[in-house]
Amino acid sequence: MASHQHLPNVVVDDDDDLVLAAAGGIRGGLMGSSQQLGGGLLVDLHASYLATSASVEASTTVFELAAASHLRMSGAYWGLCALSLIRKTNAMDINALVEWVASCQHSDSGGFGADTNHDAHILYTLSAVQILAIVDRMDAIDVKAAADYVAARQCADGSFTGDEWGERDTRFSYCAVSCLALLGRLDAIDVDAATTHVMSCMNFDGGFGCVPGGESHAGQVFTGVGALSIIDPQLRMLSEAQKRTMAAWLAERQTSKGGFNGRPEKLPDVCYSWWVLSALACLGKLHYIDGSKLRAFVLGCQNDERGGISDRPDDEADVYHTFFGIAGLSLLGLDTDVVDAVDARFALPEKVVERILLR
Amino acid sequence: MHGRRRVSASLASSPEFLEQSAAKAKSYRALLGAVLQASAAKSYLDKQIALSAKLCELNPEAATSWNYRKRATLANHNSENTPIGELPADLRVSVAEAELTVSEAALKRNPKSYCAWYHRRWVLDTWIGKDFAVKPFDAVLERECTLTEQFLSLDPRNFHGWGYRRYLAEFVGETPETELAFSRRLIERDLSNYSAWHHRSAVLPACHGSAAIGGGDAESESRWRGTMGAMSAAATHIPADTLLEEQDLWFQAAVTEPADQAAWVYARWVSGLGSRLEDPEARARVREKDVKQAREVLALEPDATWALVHLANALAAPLDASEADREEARRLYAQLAEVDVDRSGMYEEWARTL
Ligand SMILES: [Zn+2]
Repeated sequence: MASHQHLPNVVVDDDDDLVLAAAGGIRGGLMGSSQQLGGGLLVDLHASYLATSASVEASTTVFELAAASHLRMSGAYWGLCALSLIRKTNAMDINALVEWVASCQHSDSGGFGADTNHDAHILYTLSAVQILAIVDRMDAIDVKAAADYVAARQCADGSFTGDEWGERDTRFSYCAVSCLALLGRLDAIDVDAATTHVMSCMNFDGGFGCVPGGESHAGQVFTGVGALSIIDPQLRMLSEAQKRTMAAWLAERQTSKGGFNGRPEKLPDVCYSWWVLSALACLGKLHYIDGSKLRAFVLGCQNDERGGISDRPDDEADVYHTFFGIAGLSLLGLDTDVVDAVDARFALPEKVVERILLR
Repeated sequence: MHGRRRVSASLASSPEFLEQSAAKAKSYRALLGAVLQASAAKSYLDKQIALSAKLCELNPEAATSWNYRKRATLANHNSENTPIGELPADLRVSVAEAELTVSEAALKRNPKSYCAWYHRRWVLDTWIGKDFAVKPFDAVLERECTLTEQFLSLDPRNFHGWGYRRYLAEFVGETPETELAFSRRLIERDLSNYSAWHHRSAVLPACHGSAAIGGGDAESESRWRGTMGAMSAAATHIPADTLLEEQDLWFQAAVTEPADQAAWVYARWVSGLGSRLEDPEARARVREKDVKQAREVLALEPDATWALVHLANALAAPLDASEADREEARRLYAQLAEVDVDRSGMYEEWARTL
């Protein structure tokens, strides 16, 4: 699976890693001149790549996948959600998946671990809920216990801890808000305090950091603005000046190569296609960037032999970048013939979010 | 995963490659399985703890392994649940040092591991606490400060390292002035160090509030940490003279390397603070300096994107723009839509809403 982990034997590069099984909706049409590209999205290859990566067999015999056991729940969500967006969920054994997800719920706390016997964490609790949302099988778990676990993570200042050990991060605020909204239980937390805390992590550049005073990072900006957008899609807690500063900073993440970086003066990377674009979508500012150039960058990172999308051209693909690449293309709306619409706030297919929120 | 070079399809499907991968997967799974089993059994034998250290070093993001270690320190050294401050000092130091050593090895493999950095905080909060300033605990803190400096010199943009530095500063009640001076040192060493500019923006408001960083009371803590204040309320605490000095700082960087974004983002922030000053005369001084400095950069490089943006935004300042200023700003936005075509949608919108 792979993500922003630097696993054994992996060259550590200069990327900033955001392990957050989520991201976020609001669709904007696009933007820029739509130039015709040869190739396009290799849907069938990606479907077989994702299905293989998700198989139990591969998770025991492929080193990179075995070594990603600590975030397997998020990997399963990335894989399933990507397959759903390209309309290929039939490549996955859904019943086995649901059974495994349910087996990762802890009976004492109600939270989910990344895999069987891993400790519970809010990151994987959200991923589990997202998976069940996609396949419409929330009945398979103890929903009340899951919601209680998430609500219990809130601190007096409105922030959230990831687990019982106390790390606080705006990523966890996003996880809590998204997860509880999907479970229909936002009433279980102090939403105003959560809002105030996220706002206190806003920086000089209009972005958000992990904690108050932490540097902005596009992934973290998404968690901030994504959480706020779930709380209020109109984002009335932000002033016009704040929105303008934030949107400009996000738009300035597009590099001359078309791809986005996560922070100023860094290299472009496919996953930021999602983090930056979803945040811009929440702000209603998708027209601030060149969508067709971004699309070309993402398509250029496909592995045209074995499927999958990598962080940059000619790197090894992984499930994380495959999902965020496809989700980014979905937000661009230039490939609607092969990619379904994604919800920018929840990082789930729009039809899934509609089904849940209208329920 | 990042930066892993692609393997060709033929190599990836070769038997040797697959076998090697499977063998590595097997040994990793055996190690992971042993740690998970010890964790589930709440068994904290030395050899099991040693295996978890190996796992943490091999895969610094294996959270359950770190959690296991935390539980092990408590189960083996504080099974009675005594307040930690009442335990023998040398025990506390040795527990802390053992954990910090494992975390350091993990960070050498992955300097951006959330888990490994957080483990350090947990160790300090739990095993050292408020006693950091006295012997023998001061040596632990000393080590932490040195380690942070080392990681930041290896990668001056490592935001985990910066976060840990801010945590330490708060932990020991460092003054914001010290941190402000530190940010200046790093900026002068490398003008494009965005993290250092960020750090400056995070501590500058605190320098114009009062008090030490941290110190436990909620108000000073929020003053130190709350950069949100920098965007709104605390703006009023930064006097015009300080803003004018900050303008000198970004200008140094901007004339040196007009294409580098770091200083311009800082410039935008300073400018925003200036535009919210109450005194119209003070506001005008900051704004005029913005305009003047941006023009000077443009005299050297007429198409410098960030200088054009800065000039246009300064001219367009809602409270103070004359009709002529707005006209010039519109022209600049039109020029930007040509020289920075990817973002033309943004500039066109800004021009329309002027
Ligand atoms: Zn990436």
